[in-house]
Amino acid sequence: MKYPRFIFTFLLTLLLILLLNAKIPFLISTPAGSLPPIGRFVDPFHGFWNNAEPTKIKSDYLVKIPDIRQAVTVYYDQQMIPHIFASNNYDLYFSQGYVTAKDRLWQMEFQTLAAAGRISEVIGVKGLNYDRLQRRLGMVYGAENSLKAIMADPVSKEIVIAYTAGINAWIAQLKTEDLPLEYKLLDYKPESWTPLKVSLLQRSLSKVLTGETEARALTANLQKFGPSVINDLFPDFKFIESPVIPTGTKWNFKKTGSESRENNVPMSKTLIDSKKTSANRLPPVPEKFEITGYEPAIENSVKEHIDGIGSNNWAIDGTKSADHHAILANDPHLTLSLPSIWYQIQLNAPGINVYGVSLPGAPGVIIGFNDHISWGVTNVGADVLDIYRINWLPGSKEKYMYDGKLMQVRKKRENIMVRGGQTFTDQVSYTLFGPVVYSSTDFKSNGAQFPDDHAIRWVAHDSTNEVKSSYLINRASSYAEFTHGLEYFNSPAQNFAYADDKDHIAQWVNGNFPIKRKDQGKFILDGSKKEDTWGPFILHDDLPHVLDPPRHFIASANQSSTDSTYPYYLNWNFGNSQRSMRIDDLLTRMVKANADTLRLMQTDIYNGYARLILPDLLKNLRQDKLTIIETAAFKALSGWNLQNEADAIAPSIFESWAKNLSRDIWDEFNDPGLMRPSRDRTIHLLLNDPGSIWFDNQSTPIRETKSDIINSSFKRSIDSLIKNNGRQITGWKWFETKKTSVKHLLNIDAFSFENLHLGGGSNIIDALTERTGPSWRMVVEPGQTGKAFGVYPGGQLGNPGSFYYDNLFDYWLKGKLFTLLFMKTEADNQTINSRMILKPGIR
Amino acid sequence: MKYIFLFLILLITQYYGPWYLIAIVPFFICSIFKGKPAADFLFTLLTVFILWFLVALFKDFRNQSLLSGKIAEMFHLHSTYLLIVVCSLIGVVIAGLGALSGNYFRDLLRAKQ
Repeated sequence: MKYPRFIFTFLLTLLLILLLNAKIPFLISTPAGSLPPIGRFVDPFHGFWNNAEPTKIKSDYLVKIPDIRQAVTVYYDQQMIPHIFASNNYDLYFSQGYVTAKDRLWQMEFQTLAAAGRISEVIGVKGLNYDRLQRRLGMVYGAENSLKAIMADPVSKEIVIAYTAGINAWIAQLKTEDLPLEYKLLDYKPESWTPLKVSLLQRSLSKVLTGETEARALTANLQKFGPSVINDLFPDFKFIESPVIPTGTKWNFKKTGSESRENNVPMSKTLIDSKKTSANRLPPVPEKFEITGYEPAIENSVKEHIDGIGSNNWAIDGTKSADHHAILANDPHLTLSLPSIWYQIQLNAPGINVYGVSLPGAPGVIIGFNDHISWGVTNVGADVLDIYRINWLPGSKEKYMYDGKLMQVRKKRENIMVRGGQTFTDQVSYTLFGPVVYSSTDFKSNGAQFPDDHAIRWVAHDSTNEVKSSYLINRASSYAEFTHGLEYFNSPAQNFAYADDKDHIAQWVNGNFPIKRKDQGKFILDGSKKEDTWGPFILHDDLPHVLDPPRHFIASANQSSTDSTYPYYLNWNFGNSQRSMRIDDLLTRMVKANADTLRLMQTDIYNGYARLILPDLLKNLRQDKLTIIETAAFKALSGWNLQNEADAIAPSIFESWAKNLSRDIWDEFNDPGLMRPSRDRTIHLLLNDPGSIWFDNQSTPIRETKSDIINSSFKRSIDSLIKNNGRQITGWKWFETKKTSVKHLLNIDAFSFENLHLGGGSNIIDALTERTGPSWRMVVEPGQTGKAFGVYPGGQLGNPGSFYYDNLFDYWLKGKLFTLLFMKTEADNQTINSRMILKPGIR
Repeated sequence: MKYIFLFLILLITQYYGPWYLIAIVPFFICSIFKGKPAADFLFTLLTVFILWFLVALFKDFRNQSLLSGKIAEMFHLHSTYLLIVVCSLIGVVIAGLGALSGNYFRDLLRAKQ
C-alpha cells in the first residue's frame, strides 16, 4: 500500500512538471502557434510576469561594458527616445546597437530570421514554404553581396562591427527571465547578432519596396489581346500626371549606352491610340506577333494595377513659409505593424549630431535631420526586377543557351532547419541573371508573380553599401555633402526630399536603375538574347533631380519620376496620380506656411479620384430605378464633401462602387493571371471615351453601354454593403468598412489595434487602408533654430507589457505630432526622463 | 511554522531556480517535517498559492495591469485578477502533489527502519 501510493503521486507530480515545462502542440492553438510551456510561462518569478515592466522608470544608472572605449551617456526623453552622446564613432554605433537591442531585440531578430528564410527554426514546418521562397528569391545571396561592399569600406566596416558588438553586449548579459515576451511565448532564445543580419534587414526592405513585377500578368495580357490593345490600355505615361521632377526641368547630360539597343519590343511601333477601341468590337489579336514564353498563371490572381502603398514627401522654400525658411515633411507608408517599424534615436559624437528614425537592426538614421539639413523618402516605383525566360536544353534544367553559348547553372545549397522536424535541403539554381525562383519539378509557382523555371534579375542581389550612405548623409551639412551621400544609397531606390538651413530644397530620384531600352522588362524577357540583359546603371549625376525649382516646392508621392522627356526608361507603371496631384495643388496655393500647415496637410483626406469621376457617375445613375436604400445612398453621395472622413457614409459607397465599376468595365481581364488597366486609364475611358467597346460585358449577348455598367455596378455595391454591413445606411461608416488595423508581428490580437477610427484611403494623402498607412510622420524646419515634430503608430519599446509599447498611438490616431527633443549639446537635458551611462569595465 | 519556513525558502530559491522548485522544495520539507498527508497537501497548496498570488500581484501593480490585461485577453479570461488566480492555481496543484509525494516518501523510509 505504501509503495503504490508513493509511486503514484510521485509519477503524477513528475508527469505534470514535464507536461507544463514543455511546449504543448495541439492542445490549444493561439495565433502565435501552439501554447507556450505553461509552467514556465505563468511562473511569477521568471515567466511573463517578469515582462510586466514597472511603469516607473529608473532615473539614473550606470552600466559597465567590457568592450566600449570611452564613457557614453544615453539620455532618455519623456517618450523613452534615446539621445546618445559618445566621444568617437565606434562607441556611438556600439551604443546604438546596445540601446536598440535593449528595446527591440525580439523584433529585430525575428525580422532578420524571416529575411534569411529561417522562420521554420522558430515556428516549425508551417514556415517551410515561406523560408524556401526567401532562399529561392536570393535574399541571403543579396545580403551576402551587400555585406561584401560594406566590409570593403573601412568606414562602414567599423560601423557595422561596432553596432554588432553593441547588440551582442546586450544579448550577453540577458538572463532567461528577462527575455522579451515573444521568446517566452514561442519558447526559444536569441542567437548572437552578426554583420550579415544588418544587410539582411536592409534587403528585406528592398523586397518590400521593389520585390514586385507585373511582367507575367502583362505578358499574359499581351498574349490574349495583342500589342495594340496593350499599348492603348497600359501606356508608359499617365494621361493625368504631375511627375516627381517637375515638367520643364532641364536634363543636363547626354544619354549614354543604350541607343544602339533601341527597340525590338513588339509594341514599340504602335502608337497609343485610344480612339481605335471605340469601334464596335474588340480589336482582333494579330495572328503572329513576337511573344514567347508565356504561361498563364494557374490561380485566380486577377490583379489591379498596384497602388503605391502611399508615402509622401515634400518641402517648401522660404518664399512660401511664414518666417522665410524651408520646411520639410515626410510620411513613409508601409504595412503597419507592432512593435513599431521605426526606432527614433539621436546620435551625437564629434562630427555628427543627427535625429531621426532608424530601422531596428541597421546602424545610422534613415529619415531625419541634423543641425543643418533634413531629408525624407518615398519609394520609387522603378522597374528593377525583371523576369527572364531561360532557353533550357531539352530535358535539362541545368544547361541553357545564352547568346549562342552553352551555359551551366550554379547550384546553391540551402539547408533549412525545421523545429521539431528534419532539416530540409533545397538546391537553388543561379543563372547569369540570378536565381530560378520557381521550378516545375519541385517548387511550383501556382500563379505567383514569376513563372516556373524562369530566372530573375533584381538590383537587391547587387553589392551596395547603404550603411556608408547613412554615415555620410547623417553628417552632411550642405547640399553637396548630402548628394555625395546619396551616391551610396542604391537599393531600394527612393525619392529623397531635401531642405536645409540655407533655404535650399531638392528632390532626387535616387538608386540603381539599369539602363534599358523602352519597355524592357515590361514583359517577360528572353534570357537567351544578349540584348535583353541589363545595361550598366544610370550615372548618379544623370539621375532625375531638381534643386530649388521655380515653383518653390518639391514633392513626391510614388508617382512617375519624370515626364516623357527624360532620356532613360525607368518603368511604365508608377503609383496613381491623384495623391500627388492633390499635394501639388495644395503646395502651389500655399503661402505663409508653418510646420503646422504641413502637419495638417499630412492628414488631408480629400478624395481626388471621386472629384474626377463622381459627378459623371451620379449623372449617369437612373434615379427612377433605385430602391429606397439605393436612393439614400445616392443622396449621401450627392451631398458628400469629398472628404474621406472616418464617420462619413459616402466614402464606403464610393470606394465600393469604384472598385466594382473597374471590375465590370475591365471584365475582359477577369481571367486568371491577367491584370486590369490602371485607375488613370479607367478615368480616361470614363471621361473621354464614353462609347468605348470596353464597357460591354462580354458574358451577355446584348451590348452594354457606359451607363448600363455604371448603374449595375452601383446596385451591386449597395447589395454588398447591405450584405456586409446591414440594411441601415448609418452602419456604413467609412472606418467600419475600411477596418484599418495595426497588428503585432505575430498577429496576436491582444497586442494589436484593430478597426481603428480613421479616415483617409488609398490615393488620398492620408493613405490609410486596411493594413497600410503612415509608418512615421515628420515635419522639420531645418537649421539652428529649427523645430521638429514627429510621431509613429506604437511606441519606442517592443515589449507589449510596457507603457512605451503604444504610448504614441493616440497622437498618431488624431493626426497630432510630438515636438521632438533635438539636443544641440548635452546641456539641453532639462526635460529628460532618465539617464544611462555606459562605462568601460567588467560587469 | 513549517509553512512560513516553506514560504521563505521558496521565495528565495524561486528567484534563482526553475519554476518546478515549487514541487521539489515541498517534497523535501514534507518528508523531513512530516505531517498528516491531507494537511501537507492542503497547506502546501495554500502556501504556494499565497506566494505566487502575491508575487504576481506585486508585479502587476507595478505595471498597472498593462501586460496582464493583454495576456488575459489572449487566454480569453476577462479580468487580470482572474488571470492571477488561474496562474497561481496551475502552480499550486503541482506544489501540493510534491508535498504529498514527500510525505509518502517518508513513510517508505520509516517502513524500512
